[in-house]
Amino acid sequence: MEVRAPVEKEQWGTRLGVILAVAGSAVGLGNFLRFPGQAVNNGGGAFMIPYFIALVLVGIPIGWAEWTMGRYGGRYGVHSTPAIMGIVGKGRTSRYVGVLGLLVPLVIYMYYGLIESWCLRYAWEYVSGGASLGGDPAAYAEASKNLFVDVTGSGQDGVIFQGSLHPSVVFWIIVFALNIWLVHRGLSKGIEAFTRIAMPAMAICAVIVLVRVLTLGTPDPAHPERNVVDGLGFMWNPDLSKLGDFDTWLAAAGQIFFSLSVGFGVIINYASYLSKKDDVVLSGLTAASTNELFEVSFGGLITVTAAFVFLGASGAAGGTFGLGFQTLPVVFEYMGPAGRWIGATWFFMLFLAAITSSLSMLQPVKAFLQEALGVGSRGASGILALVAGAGGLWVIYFSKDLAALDTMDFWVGTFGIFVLATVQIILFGWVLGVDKGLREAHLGAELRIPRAVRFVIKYVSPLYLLIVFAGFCIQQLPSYVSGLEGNDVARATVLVIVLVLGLLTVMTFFGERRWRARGIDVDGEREPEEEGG
Amino acid sequence: MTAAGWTFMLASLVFVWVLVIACYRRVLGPPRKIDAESEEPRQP
Repeated sequence: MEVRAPVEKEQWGTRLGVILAVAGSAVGLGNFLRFPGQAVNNGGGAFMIPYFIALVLVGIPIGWAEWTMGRYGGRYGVHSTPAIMGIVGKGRTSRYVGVLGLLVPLVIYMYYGLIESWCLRYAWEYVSGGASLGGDPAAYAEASKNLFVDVTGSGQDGVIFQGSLHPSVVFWIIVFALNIWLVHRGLSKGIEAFTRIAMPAMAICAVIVLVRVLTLGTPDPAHPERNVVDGLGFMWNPDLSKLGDFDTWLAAAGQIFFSLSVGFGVIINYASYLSKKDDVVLSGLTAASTNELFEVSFGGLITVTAAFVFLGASGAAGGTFGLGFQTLPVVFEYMGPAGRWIGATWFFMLFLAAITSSLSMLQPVKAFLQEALGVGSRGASGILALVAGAGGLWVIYFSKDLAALDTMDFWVGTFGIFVLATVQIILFGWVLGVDKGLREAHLGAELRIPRAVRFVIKYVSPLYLLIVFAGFCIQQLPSYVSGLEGNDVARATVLVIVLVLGLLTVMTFFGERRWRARGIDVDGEREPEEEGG
Repeated sequence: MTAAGWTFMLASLVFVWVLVIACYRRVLGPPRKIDAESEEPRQP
């Protein structure tokens, strides 16, 4: 009689594939939109000092810890964050804290998938000529804002469900279906195959836009100060006095932290498909450096410079949504006929950056559903589509002022990530043990982690994270908590997050029973076998 | 753009590009595993 394996075995096709998949997860909208805004507001070029220090002290060490823990857990035959954290943390508490490693990617996907569909729709509008802002430069800003409100439905709740099928819903369905299909195809045939095409394509798009921006010269003779060199200066001229400001260090650590996708539960899942012989040290460093390439080389040169050249200092200030979706369309309009194609390239690049990230958010949850509920790839993809789709529709419906999106982004996309990353680095450095952890990291490694990193992982990274987390809580938490009082949508969205957390916790409970029944050492009491099953 | 601005920009770009090139040269080159026990490069 044919015995069917309880969980379908998946693995990466190539080493470069997993590196590009992790890098693709890390490279997202934040590289192109959030990073330049943070730099401009926190000392320009001087921001790069705390930024690179945070990269070395927080980003790369936590990344190595996640890669190592993921592969370590994979050797026990599991691939989901709760199971792996239960093994590393040797018990139930860590396992249930690990549920955050499912909540974070799943809830972030609910709104990130929507933003991704905005990018695709903007790209389409540029290709089809629908993004024209009219012939009056004085009205460009207003027209751009109207386009943003139309695409996002941020004018009022439920607006994109009224009347005929709204284009934004159509684009969301296309993007959602593409994500689910690629994840259903599996690691090698889906995520890896797509990322191997998408990452180079993204780089080509970025180079095209970068070349155009750097060759803009001084487009408006009436404003000779608005030129490319001064645009770069607006971004990079250092304000060294900012280095004495705690907020600058907080912002730098936060940017590195969110940019590298640490604390997402993604790297742990991706690395769990590696074998003991596979390198994680060089791979982790390469993925992080790829992210830095996109962030510093492209994000640091394109966005603010383009906005400054046409709109001056006031137009180049700000960040993320405002800069990306409202200011830059004005910039593209000023570019004349070429702006239409540069705009299309820009938004298609953002779409690629977003989809390589969103795929990585779905895979950990799919892997969990498969191994916790014992369903196949089709069943897991179906359940995932149901839950992620329902959450996505919630965010789409409550679109006024992007209230649902903003709430999820704060409580899960910021707060949840901080908590998860802090727990992970403490588990690695103190529970698994930094010496054992680094020995594990060196299995199959092609690069030796410097000895100083032992001290960094054990003391500096947790302390750095705790300080940043405390600063974040002091600065931002009170306003968000008080903001809940007068906002029904925000409160209801928090309830949705709690419900999803409850659902995942119950699934983990049943998953634990299943893992034990399969003979998996879920409490990490013994050393892993040579290769997990 | 001030001289300090150029310095910070070029230094950042050089740092990132050197890191990326060094990493991908190792990734795409022949495997050079280190010995997990001694943490020294394995002898051929």
